[in-house]
Amino acid sequence: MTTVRSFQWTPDEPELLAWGTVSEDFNPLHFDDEFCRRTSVGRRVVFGALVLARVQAESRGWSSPGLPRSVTLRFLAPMPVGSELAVTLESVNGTVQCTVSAEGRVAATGSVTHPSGGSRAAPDQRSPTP
Amino acid sequence: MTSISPGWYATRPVARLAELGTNGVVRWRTFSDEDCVNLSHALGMQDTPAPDALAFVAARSSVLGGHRMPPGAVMAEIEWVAHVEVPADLTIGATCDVSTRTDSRGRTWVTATVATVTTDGHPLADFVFRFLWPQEAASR
Repeated sequence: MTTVRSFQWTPDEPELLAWGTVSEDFNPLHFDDEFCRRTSVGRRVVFGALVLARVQAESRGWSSPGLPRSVTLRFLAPMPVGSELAVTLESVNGTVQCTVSAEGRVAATGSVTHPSGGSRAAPDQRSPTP
Repeated sequence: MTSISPGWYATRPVARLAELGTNGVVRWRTFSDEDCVNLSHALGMQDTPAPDALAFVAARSSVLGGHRMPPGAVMAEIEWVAHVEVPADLTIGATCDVSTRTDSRGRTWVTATVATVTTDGHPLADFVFRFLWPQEAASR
C-alpha cells in the first residue's frame, strides 16, 4: 500500500455557499444550524457531492493530461461542517483507494481510476501525509 | 450560517418517485462564467477555467427534476466516469433513468443513472447516484 496523495481540508462557509449556488442545493442540512439541531446528526454536514468533486479535482493530472477515468465514493458517516476532512489516496493492488475521515472516523471510502486502468503516483503532494 | 435561500423553500421536495429523472428527455443546462468561478472556488481550484464538476452538477440536477430531496433521503454512493473535458460552450445535456429496489430490511434504494453529453452529442460523463429513500416518500 502506497500513499499517492493526501490532503486535509476544512470546507469553509464561502466554499459551501459557492457549491450550493452552482448546484442550486440549499438543503438546510448544509446551511441551517437551527434546523440541524433537530436532526439525528445534530449539526450541519458537508455536501458529499462537494467532497467527491474535490477528490476528482485533486486526482487530475496524475496521468498526462488530465481527467481521471472514474471516481467512486460511498458515504458511511456524516461529515460535520467545521471538521477537518483527511483525504488519503492509496495504491492497493493496482487501484487507487480513497478514504475520507472526519473527527477520527471513516466517513467515506471509494476509488479512483485513470485511463490506463491502473494507479498513478502523484507527481507532487500538495500537503504532507499526516 | 443560518440564512437559507428563499428559493430553496419555494422548491418543493420530490413527492413521488415518478418525478425523478428525465423520462427520456435530454435536460440541457448552460453554465455561466460566474458558475465556473463559484465552482472553482468551492473546490479550491481557482485556475481551472471549466471545472469538470460542471458535468456533475448538470447530472445531479437531472436526477431531481427541479425539485429538492425529500426529508430523510440519504446520498449513499456516487460513481463518476469521465469521457472528455467539459466543452468551452459550458452547455451540458443530461438524461436520467431511475430504478428502485427494496432490500431485505425493507428499505427502499433509488438508483439514478445519468448520461451527460455535449451539444454535438458526444458523451461527456456518466454518473450513478444511489440514495436510501425515506419510507414515507417511497410509498408514494
